[in-house]
Amino acid sequence: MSRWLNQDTLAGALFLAIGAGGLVAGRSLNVGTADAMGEGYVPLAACWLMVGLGLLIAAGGVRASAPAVEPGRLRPLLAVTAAVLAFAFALEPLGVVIAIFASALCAARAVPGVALRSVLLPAAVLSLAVLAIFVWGLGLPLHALPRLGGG
Amino acid sequence: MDLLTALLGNLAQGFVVAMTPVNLGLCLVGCLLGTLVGVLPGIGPTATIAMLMPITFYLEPTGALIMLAGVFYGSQYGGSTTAILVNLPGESSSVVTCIDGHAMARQGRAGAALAIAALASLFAGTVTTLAIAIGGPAIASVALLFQSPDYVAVMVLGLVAAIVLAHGSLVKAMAMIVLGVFVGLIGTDVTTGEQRFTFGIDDLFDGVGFVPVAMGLFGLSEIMLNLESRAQDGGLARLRDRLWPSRDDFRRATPATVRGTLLGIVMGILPGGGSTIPSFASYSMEKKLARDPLRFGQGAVEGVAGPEAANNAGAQAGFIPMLALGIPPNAIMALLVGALMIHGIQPGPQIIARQPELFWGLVVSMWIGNLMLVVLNLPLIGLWVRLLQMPYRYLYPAIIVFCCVGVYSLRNSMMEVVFMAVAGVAGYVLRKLGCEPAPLLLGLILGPMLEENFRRSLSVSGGDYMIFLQRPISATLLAAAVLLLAFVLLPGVRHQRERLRDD
Repeated sequence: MSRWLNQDTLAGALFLAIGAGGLVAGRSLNVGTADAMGEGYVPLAACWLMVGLGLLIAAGGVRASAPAVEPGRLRPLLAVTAAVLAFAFALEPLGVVIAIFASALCAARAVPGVALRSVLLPAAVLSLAVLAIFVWGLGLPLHALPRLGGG
Repeated sequence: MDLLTALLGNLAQGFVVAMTPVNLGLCLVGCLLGTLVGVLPGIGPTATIAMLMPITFYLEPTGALIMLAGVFYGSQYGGSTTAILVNLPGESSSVVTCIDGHAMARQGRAGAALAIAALASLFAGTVTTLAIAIGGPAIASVALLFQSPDYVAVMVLGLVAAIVLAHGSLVKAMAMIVLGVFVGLIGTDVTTGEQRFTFGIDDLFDGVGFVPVAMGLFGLSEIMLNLESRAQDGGLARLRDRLWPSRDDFRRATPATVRGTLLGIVMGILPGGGSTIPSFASYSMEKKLARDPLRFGQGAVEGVAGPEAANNAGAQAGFIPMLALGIPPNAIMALLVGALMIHGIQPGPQIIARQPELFWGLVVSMWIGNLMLVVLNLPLIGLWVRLLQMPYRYLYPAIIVFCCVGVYSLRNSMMEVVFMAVAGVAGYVLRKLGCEPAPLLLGLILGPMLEENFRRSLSVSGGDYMIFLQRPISATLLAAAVLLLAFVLLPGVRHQRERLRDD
């Protein structure tokens, strides 16, 4: 079973899925003709190409020599993604400083055994650096702290 | 003679631009930053340039390009420092430098290895700068004759070459390019005004932002992979002896440097060439040419000088197609094209004629930057060594935050930050499946240009695809693309390529 789940079959399936998904999502686009292409001509052609290449890649996965997927660890993947999303969602309502602390706390979870306390000082330094460079230096319209009164 | 005076005049104009205090300062900042990320394994020039893009928004386009270019070639210098002292490639382009560079360091000749690497890079940088100054305008003047079918053909050639030179599977690289083109077409269609694949998300109407995708694909996924495998210790070599190489070192290194430079320029111009492949190619060439190949791996000076010259030449030669044709040969050049477009400069052969101060200022600044790097780097090596001991766990949260702030500030939109997170996960998954992200980025930046020219060509020809074969320029370029593809599919070459990948 796991012999079939190698880099090639999975990558092939991924491209196949993206291509097919694009064809479905773009079915209402106007293709037009070669001398007067509609908005769908080139993107849908790209989708068909991905379907074809996906099949080709997956076919390569049947070989016994197809490279296996190196086992990954979920922890760094989730922690880094969470760090970015925490920043994205905290920034506008809560301000830059809280967003940075939230992001740094999430990021710290990527490595086991990092005490949360040890994140606070680097996060404070980082906040100061970001404020100095981007807000005071470049004048980006970011607010440092939560805006009161829901403004 | 006229050409020479014209060249000197242009270079003089470049000096005026590059020597202004602001541009000199930006060049210095770029070089230092480049060296820093080059020294630190786990963060590369692509991610750094992506991170700096928003800052360059506040600069003049020339200054912005000068700084970003400095990051790129600066990282080539920094990468070799780590390779020699710690036996870790600071950048992928310095993988081969580890072999003989670190062997020299273990023999107590770290200083000589570092100096040879720096001087070889300086030589390569100087020659390549001249090549850009001469080759860029020449190619641009030919490219001014290009019509849309020719542009389609040159882009196809570029993409084919990117496939050929990508690491790993050809079909996967091809699929990544198509995926990139597809993602590049998301947004409002310029010709018909129709929405394509936007799913009603406002932030997609103007297309998928180039910067969030690049930062996610390269920056974030790199951090994720680094955090997975942090088992590494090469043992720091000490700088015991004098820095200056012996006369014998120079005798051996000089021809290797010249060969490495030429190889780097030729391969760097080719799309997909970048700086990594020339350095590998130079190493195997030096090994083949050497009278006693057994010295390689035991601290052969040629094994440091050749690849170091080649990677620096390759890094800079990529500017030729980028500036002369507007076609980026690798992911970093694609980012620089993106930086130009942020400033409203349409890349293409008209840049050199219309923005001479940009082109010549950049060319001259690259030469100044190379000089700065040698003068600065050798005394600063102690500092870099200390930086190498900084734990990664202080570094990566800062990188994440800078990426977030940078992406947000481009359009003041939190959705862009979310897109970056999505691109990060995508990059992680794709890399795990053996798909290198660089071709995707090329497809993303070329996609809209490709579609526009493809459409225009066929509407001129009344839907006849033969137009691509009827124009001599496009026919020649397409023939070259077919030949290139056929060449790598030859069994022998294919075998060699796969072996190279396994090394």
